[in-house]
Amino acid sequence: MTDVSTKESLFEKIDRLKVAVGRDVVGDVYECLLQILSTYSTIADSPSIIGDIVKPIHDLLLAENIQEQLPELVSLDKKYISLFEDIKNIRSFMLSLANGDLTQKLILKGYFAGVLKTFHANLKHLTWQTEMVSRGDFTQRVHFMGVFASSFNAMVEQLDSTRKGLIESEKKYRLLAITDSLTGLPNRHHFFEVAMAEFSRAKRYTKTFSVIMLDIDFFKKINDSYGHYVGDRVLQTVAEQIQKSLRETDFPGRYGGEEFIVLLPETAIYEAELVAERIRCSIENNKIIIDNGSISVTASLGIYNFECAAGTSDVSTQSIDEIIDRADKALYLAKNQGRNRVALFSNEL
Amino acid sequence: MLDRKYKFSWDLLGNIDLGRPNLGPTTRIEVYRLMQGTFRDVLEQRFGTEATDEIFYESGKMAGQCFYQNVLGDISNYEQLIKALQEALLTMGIGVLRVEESDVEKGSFVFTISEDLDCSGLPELDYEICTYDEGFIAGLLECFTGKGFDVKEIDCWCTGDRTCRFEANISN
Repeated sequence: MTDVSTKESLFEKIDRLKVAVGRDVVGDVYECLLQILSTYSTIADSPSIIGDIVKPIHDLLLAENIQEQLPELVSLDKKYISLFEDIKNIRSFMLSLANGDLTQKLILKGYFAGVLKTFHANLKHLTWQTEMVSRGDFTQRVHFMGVFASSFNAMVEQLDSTRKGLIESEKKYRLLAITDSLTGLPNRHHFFEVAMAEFSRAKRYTKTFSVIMLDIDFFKKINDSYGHYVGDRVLQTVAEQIQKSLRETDFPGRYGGEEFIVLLPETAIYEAELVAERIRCSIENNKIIIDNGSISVTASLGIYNFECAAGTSDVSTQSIDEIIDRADKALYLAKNQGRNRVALFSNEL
Repeated sequence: MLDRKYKFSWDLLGNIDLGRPNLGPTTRIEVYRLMQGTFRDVLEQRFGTEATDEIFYESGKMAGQCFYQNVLGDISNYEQLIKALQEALLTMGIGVLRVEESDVEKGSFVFTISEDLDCSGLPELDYEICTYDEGFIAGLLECFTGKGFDVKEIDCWCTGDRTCRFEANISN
């Protein structure tokens, strides 16, 4: 319609219509058309006006810097202003998301805003779930979020599996560190740890406990006669017999070589003697099967009872080493008295 | 003997296994929405929009309380509540619950429910529609915390969003 001839042609047509139909009827139509043509003419004669209107919106999508000043033609148009502000808000919202800032909200309704808000909500939920995992909740799983879900879930499953593996390994190594590998009994170091704790407890609460020191009789001879393999079998069997003879609260250990030690918490001397005798009989009566038949072994046992009664001045100077040493002295007495017996510590030793 | 004819209790849901040995416990969502939609329409005609919303909210709250007591079981902490609720809503096809914000001390939460039973796929309206869900969440939170909660849906499928968002705060 920028072609003048086309415009004149249209006016001519309107004039003919006016003549044919009558001015009154055509008058309004004529005025309308003139307005349309006039507006179109303005726009058509100024193609940059469309560009000016579109540019601010376009800039919001493409340009780093945006102009806040809107073109005069639309500066009072509420719909245009609303569109401009909405896109500006979306732009600001997306920039925050891109920078990892999930605190900004998008207060807009509609499909496009809704899609972005769903994305935002999913990111916030993923963040929350990640925090739960970091606090130790490895049951967290993401549902229906495509690759986010599969990757997140795979990561958490792997973390959980690794953690469980580490716990198992730690348990295994902890056990190895405190256990005698041949007999399965607590090793000397671990026995001391437990004995120290029991000693402290007994002193604090004025309790009693007993210690049994045990030595296999003529063990060197067994090793020399039958070999170390049989010697190991003997040690294992004696350890089994000791464990079978103990009560639930008693705590055994391999002290070293062919020596074993047992801690009996809250056990008076006469009770300890019963336990020791049970152990001794169990060892004596148990035949150990070897390749060529069987052998029997015996053991000597010494007992020391720690009594933390009120007014006992001796108690405060004792240490766990001294207590074990006294049990050892009692063991020595048992050996001297002929072996395969239980002896009690006395101050004469 | 009940003091009213339609007083609700969980056992009124009946024994589905016994009642539907062939068809089973599931049905189409359209059936559920047909019932809800027609209820809403008739209630609004009789009692007005505001009263209808209140009725739906209160019904949802009652449902939330019953759901907590009969479905979720023993819940000792917030994380357990969320997990149990997520599982239950997924299993029952009610929606996909996600947590956006949570401040347990302040009693302030923002949840989203995607593929919501009430509204997902509905035509666009210019208002949020999940009033029943608002009450449902309020009932759950009240049972868990022992405190009154106000829950408001701030985004909905019906307003063009793709997920329903609910803000929950302890009542003043």
